[in-house]
Amino acid sequence: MTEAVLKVVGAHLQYGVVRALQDVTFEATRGHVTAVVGTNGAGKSTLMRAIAGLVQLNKGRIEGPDGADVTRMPPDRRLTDLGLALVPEGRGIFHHMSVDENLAMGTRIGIRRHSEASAAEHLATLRRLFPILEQRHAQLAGTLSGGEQQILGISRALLAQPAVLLLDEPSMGLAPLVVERLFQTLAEYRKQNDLTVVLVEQDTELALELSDDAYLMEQGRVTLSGPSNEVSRSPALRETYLGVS
Amino acid sequence: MSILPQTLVDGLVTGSSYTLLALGFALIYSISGFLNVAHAEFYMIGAYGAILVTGAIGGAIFGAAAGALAVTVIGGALLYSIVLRRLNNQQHMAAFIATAGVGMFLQYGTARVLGVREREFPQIAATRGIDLGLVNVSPAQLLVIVVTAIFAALLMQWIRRSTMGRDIRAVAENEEAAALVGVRVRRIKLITICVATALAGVAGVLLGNLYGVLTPFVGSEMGLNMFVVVLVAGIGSLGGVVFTGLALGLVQALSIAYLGSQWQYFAGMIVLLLVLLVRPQGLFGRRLRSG
Repeated sequence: MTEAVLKVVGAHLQYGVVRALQDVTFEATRGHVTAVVGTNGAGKSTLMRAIAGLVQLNKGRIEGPDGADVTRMPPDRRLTDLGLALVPEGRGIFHHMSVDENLAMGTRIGIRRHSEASAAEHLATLRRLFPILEQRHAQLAGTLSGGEQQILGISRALLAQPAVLLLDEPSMGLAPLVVERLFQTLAEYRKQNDLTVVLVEQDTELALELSDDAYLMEQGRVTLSGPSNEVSRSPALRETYLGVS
Repeated sequence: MSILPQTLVDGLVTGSSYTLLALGFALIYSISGFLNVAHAEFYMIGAYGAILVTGAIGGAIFGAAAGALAVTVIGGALLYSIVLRRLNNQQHMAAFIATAGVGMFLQYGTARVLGVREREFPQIAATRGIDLGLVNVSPAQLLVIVVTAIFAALLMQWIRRSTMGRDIRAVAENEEAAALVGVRVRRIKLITICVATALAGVAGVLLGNLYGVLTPFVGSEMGLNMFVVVLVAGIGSLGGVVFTGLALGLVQALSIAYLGSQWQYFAGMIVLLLVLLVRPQGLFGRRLRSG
């Protein structure tokens, strides 16, 4: 039986005259990868920011794993209490801090949510999966390459041992080979951990390939949703987003 | 006998006072992105807090410190809660105008309540100089230099080494990203602003003692020098603020000794102009670092 760990119900959000979200209903199922696809300005990132608590909805509600209304909960509590971790577009790493210092900020939440032993174990696992974290541990994060910064951003979020990992455009600006390796490693991590992922991607083909469920957003609305294999067969999506008819 | 050693000591004392004030100003800018134009007035209300508490309960240095810290920490908390918290990070001009208003309120409010006449500051360290051969230094002057050195070192270590210091650097660099890794941004801002205003309070005690008298308008002159320090240093490096604060004090002291007292502030302005022409971001300008 599928179980929703995150629900957005009837979300409306307006920036001035721009309607960024219009009656958006969204659900992420435990252990699944849920993709949110669409063009620039479709409202994908706004949806992620609303889920993470960075922007407040004008109308609608956000429900956590137990169905509780968390619409007004501040972002730090969404991470510590609910385990909602967002890796934002642009990675959100601290450029003037070392790799270790960046990771320590994730570890602290991991300790708060679980235990010191579990946080240490997670750090060891991530260093094994991403050796770059050990090799560059004292280096300033701002001096890492784009791919390494993305690895750092995702690892820092995973160190908080989240229940739901929200990834906003993780492939942006990265070489295809780097993206492939990143997702392979992430898949390996997900096998070992009960992790739900919400993936926002402009690369529709990649997102549908990696996900179990998918939502298509256009002009602030969800226009198509369902299992990814069904969504990818939709004629409208195939023609507009995959370039095939 | 050469006047250079004495000039250098005088410059270090003046520079230390600028440094204490500028460190707090730079901290508030880094954490909020706002120029707190009222910052120098916290130096003034800190000194008045010291006078009022020592007048009421005595206690010399401890009474003065308690009075100054209580007034400036509460003032800092109110500044954040009532004014700065309500502004978003893009409202720089609104923050400038609002804090200028707070500065005027503090200055004229103090004048209205406590009067504009000079008030005597309770002596916590002797202001009479001790002849050390090459230089004549008073315990009050030494106190300014030593306390500034201790507070500057503690502040930089706190920012560099502590968990809260890391949170402060995180908020200074990227507020949203900090919130996404569980940092309670508002709490960190509140604490940082209170620490910054408390530093101004410490400066109030040290300089109140050094000069012996106080009026509600002492903050204006200090504020001007604080701006010069921060503009020359560039926002972002606390070490840079310390270096520049001391350097400005030395430049002013040397100008007085060798060019005449009318050059004191003009020399600082020339340094400011030259630095801004060559490096508009300041000598050490970037986001908040502890070094």
